[in-house]
Amino acid sequence: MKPKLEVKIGKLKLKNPVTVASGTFGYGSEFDGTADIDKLGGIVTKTITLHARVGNKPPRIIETPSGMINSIGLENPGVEKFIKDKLPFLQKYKIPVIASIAGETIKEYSELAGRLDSVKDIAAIEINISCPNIKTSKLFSQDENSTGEVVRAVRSATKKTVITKLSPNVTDIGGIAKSAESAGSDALSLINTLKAMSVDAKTRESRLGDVTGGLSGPAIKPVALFMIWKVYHRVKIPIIGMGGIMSPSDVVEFMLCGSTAVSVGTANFVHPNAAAEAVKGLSQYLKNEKIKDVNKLIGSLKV
Amino acid sequence: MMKQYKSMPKQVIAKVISQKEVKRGCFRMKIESPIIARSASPGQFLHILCGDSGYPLLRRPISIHRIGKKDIEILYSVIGKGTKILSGKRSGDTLDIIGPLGNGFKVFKGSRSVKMLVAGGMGVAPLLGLADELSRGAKGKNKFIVVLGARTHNHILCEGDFKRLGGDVHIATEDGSKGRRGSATDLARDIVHSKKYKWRDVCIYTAGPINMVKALARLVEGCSIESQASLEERMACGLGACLGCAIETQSGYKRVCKDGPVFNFCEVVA
Repeated sequence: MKPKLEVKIGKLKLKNPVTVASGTFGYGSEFDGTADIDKLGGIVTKTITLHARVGNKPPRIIETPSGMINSIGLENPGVEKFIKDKLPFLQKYKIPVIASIAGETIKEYSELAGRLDSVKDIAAIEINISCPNIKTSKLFSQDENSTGEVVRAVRSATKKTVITKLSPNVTDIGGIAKSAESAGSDALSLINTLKAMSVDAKTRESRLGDVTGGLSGPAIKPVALFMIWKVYHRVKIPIIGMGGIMSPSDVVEFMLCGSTAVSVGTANFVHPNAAAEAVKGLSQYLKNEKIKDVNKLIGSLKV
Repeated sequence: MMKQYKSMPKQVIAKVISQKEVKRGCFRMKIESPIIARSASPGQFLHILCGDSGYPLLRRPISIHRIGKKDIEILYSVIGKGTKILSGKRSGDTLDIIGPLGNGFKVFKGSRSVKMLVAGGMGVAPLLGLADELSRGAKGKNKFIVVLGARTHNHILCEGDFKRLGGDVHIATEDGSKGRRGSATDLARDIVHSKKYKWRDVCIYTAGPINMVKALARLVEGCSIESQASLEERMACGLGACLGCAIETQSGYKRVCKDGPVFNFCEVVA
């Protein structure tokens, strides 16, 4: 017997719960030949902005114990070039494409959502209000009101499924999650990277060109699990869980804590086929545990 | 006509054929992989998983040193935990490798320019593979000029290999313990002057510390349009997706892994 793997995120049906996290899989084509892209539940694109962004000053990455810090700074070609040059490649895999968007103002989020709403091959929109590598004193996701405002603006600009990506750099992620839900978000994505630094004692400099960055990888998994567990008990909308997923059993852990779907991120850099392998492993786990439907796992942590 | 290198990278589990410490802290490893060997070209790199229990987490990008029929060689120095683990691999061990990656050196067929390979320290690693290719294409003695720069005579690598391939080898050391005292850049400049070459007739291929590469680029000042440099930056994916290995070039930020690692001199910010 083949276990049922299909999950629903808003109106969006995923053939399995494993997607790839924004910024870790480019626009798909970079992984052509090294990853079984067609096996994924969905692909979340690198974040797209209204106009092209050149990104942050190098060096942009540094490895840290069980993780890495990045400071890419949302380098991307802008929404029009994305639609014209990047999207056609993704269409051939027939898997849902979730476009990640970021704006500097609420109006930009709304414009981006409006533009993508008319693009047939975009299955859903992920609102990135939590990138730690842009020059701003406070992220939209670090305040309940501004989170609500962005989500409302995007909501009224598109009929597509809207997913809001939250930052772990907050005092009460539950409150922020609740605010996104009330403003009409169909689902939540968490966690984005944790604000971090790496310093070289010898040169007395930061190892990153932009001084600070965002920590990802297995190092942040325990934080991610906790935050998902916390948010799961505050909202009714589905959660896409992420933060250091490396293996199929990590996927199971994230689902037990309340994730309906998951995103594999940093692992894609190490094992290009990690997400597709996780789908296989998840299916095997369900078979071994005699669980017929993957949805049975969601939030079923024994406490 | 320019030789075109286009190949699809593959993830393979490859067997280590041999590993030898050629100089203190510097290792040469031969790896069996017909698939990679068939499609690799000099200047491309391998993305090697060094840790097997998640630490170090990321792969390490290491340039291809030499390309055999069924095997590839790498030459690397131990600089951190990843390369330390790599140096412990023995014949028969296996490695998880993605490759070949990036754009290698372009050899302009029919070009009459004087080929000059300038290596600083470990920069010899990708340049020996290029010398292999150049020696196949040329006739007679002194097919190309090689300038090896290093800290001391103990740090000079591959001198004999370059000579065997027909290279006209010149050496510069910082402490003067072998060859000329001084930098590889100064030596390269003096060779060009003493032989009365014009910079526009010289094609430099270089790899090494970024300051050396920049000094060479300043020296040439856009005259040597075929000249190329292999550059380095820390990498995550190696596939062009994460944009982590961006470097500043004359035409904006470029990815070392996908747009490079070999860049034309006119891209190098001097």
